[in-house]
Amino acid sequence: MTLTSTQSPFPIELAHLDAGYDNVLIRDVNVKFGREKITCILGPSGKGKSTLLRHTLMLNHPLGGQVLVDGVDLVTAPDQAIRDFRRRVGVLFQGAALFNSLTLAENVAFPILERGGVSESLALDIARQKLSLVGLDDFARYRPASVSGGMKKRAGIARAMALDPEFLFLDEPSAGLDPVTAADLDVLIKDVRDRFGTTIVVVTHELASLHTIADDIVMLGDGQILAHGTLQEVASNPHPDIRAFFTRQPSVTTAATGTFSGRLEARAPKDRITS
Amino acid sequence: MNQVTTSRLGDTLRVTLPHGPNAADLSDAKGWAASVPSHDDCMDVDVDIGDAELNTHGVVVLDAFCRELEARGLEVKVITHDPYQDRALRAFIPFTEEAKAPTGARNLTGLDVIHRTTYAVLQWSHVANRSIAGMRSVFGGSARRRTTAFLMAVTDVGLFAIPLVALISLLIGAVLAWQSAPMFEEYGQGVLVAQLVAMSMLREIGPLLTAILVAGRSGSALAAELGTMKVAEELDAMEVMGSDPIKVIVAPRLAAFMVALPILVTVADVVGVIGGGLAAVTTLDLRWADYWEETQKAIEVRHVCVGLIKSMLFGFFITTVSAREGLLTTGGPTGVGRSTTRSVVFSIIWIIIVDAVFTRIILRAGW
Repeated sequence: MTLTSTQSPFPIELAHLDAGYDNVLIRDVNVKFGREKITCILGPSGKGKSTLLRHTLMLNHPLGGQVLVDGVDLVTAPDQAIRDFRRRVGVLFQGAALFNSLTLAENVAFPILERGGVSESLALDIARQKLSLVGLDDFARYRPASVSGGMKKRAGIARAMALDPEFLFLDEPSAGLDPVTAADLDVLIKDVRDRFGTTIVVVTHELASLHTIADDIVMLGDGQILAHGTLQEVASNPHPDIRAFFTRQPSVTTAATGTFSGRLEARAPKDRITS
Repeated sequence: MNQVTTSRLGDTLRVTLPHGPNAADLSDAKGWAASVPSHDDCMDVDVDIGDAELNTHGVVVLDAFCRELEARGLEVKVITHDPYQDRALRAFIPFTEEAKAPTGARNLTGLDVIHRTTYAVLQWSHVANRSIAGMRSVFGGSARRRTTAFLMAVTDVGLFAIPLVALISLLIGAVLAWQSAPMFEEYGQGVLVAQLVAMSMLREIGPLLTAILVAGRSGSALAAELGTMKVAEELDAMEVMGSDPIKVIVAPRLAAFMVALPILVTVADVVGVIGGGLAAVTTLDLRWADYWEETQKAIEVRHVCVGLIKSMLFGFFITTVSAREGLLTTGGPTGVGRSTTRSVVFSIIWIIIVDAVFTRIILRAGW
């Protein structure tokens, strides 16, 4: 896919987005995902990385603000616009979310068959092609329950890529994988971008993969976006939470605050004898 | 002896606990605090824990004890005597009152109930609407996979349930005959048992019993399947891949339930009548020929139709109610269990409500 003059360099844009479920978890998010760029959403666990992803995909209705795809606001657009957007998207969920009743190949073939227009055997061939891309060609006939967590993740990525999507969203692709497989995956992600011109958004907290894949970084924390920019820009940001994240320091709040409410008074054992 | 010992040292009250806080409960801490005397001129308290060992349990109890005293305005110091006690106490992170306060228990107002009920009905009608719309694709030319899903569901919901339905209907037919026989024999019309068995099996017991069985056997399975998929984000994945879970999963089931139930009801009707006959012949001194003759008098097309139409309606409600419960599952494996239970309970409630309404309407219409 080549960039034509009519295409915006930022196909997906979140504008003043308030994301959360019952309460707002992240406030006033303003992010643009660059075309053919790999954007990494970074942040400590429980701070709304996956939530932001779910809102971008409109799986949860934003509590405020806009999700703009090619300039169209999905929050107010009719359902058809959301369906059209999703047709251009591949997603890896955190737990891979493979269908347990289908084999890995059938899982990958599912979106192909759902879109229609191809025979089942062709869909399965395409699926096998995608599986070999993630190194799982020998496991095409296995069911998700009988492969390892890392394999499920890889099969999930294969399924996300099944339709050669324009946008790829990956929720913690390398969490829980061994370093070698994780590094392989990073190479694969970069490869997909280079070969297919895919716009990729990766939710992660793996510092190592940032150096390999990240073109852009969005750092979340404290209910908002702390920083947005290239790896160098974000890593050199002086914000204490960002510093702590990149230097792998414990957060200030949990470090040794226990004092028994200041009631303590230590005395030598002999004191007890005299009293 | 569950009381603290106290001694005064000038302005300070020294309190010694009766035993180590590791072996105490929060109620003990309260009791101890209550037994500390109040002196207006002595607001400092030293709590001496002796050489007691301290684990987290003990520290939490000790904290509760100190809080009780502090609530009376006393200044509390805990005296430790060895570094281990000291370390245990220093590791303690004090609770904030908000963290201890119970959360969530909000009283339901009448308005909330109306709001929730309306919302539930809206959700249900959404599921019903979309699955009816999706039925077209079950038999559409391009969707052979949906047709396969439909056939598999018919097999599972319908054919595999036949032995169970047959067994139950056989016994219920017999029980109906036994229960009603004395009433008819009083008037010397024992043979009318056949009509009662046939009428009640065809119009009421057959469809109702089958529906309850299917709700428990297959409705719950549908809710559990959807619930498991929901908590594993599989339904989200499906939605993102551009397919509607209601169309893909629920619609073929809806079609299957609405086909399988009339099949099962037919089986129930036939076997129920046979069961009544067996009971009549073996224990009520009736001849098979007489029983059969009376049965034929009772069987009319309209009775059969009432039962079959009713069973299709039941199938519709079981599927949509169970699907709604499954699709709205939250909270992991426990949530799946809860949805499964709720699907059975609500299916049965709806079966009986629909039964009552339908019966009134059909009787009004003279059927």
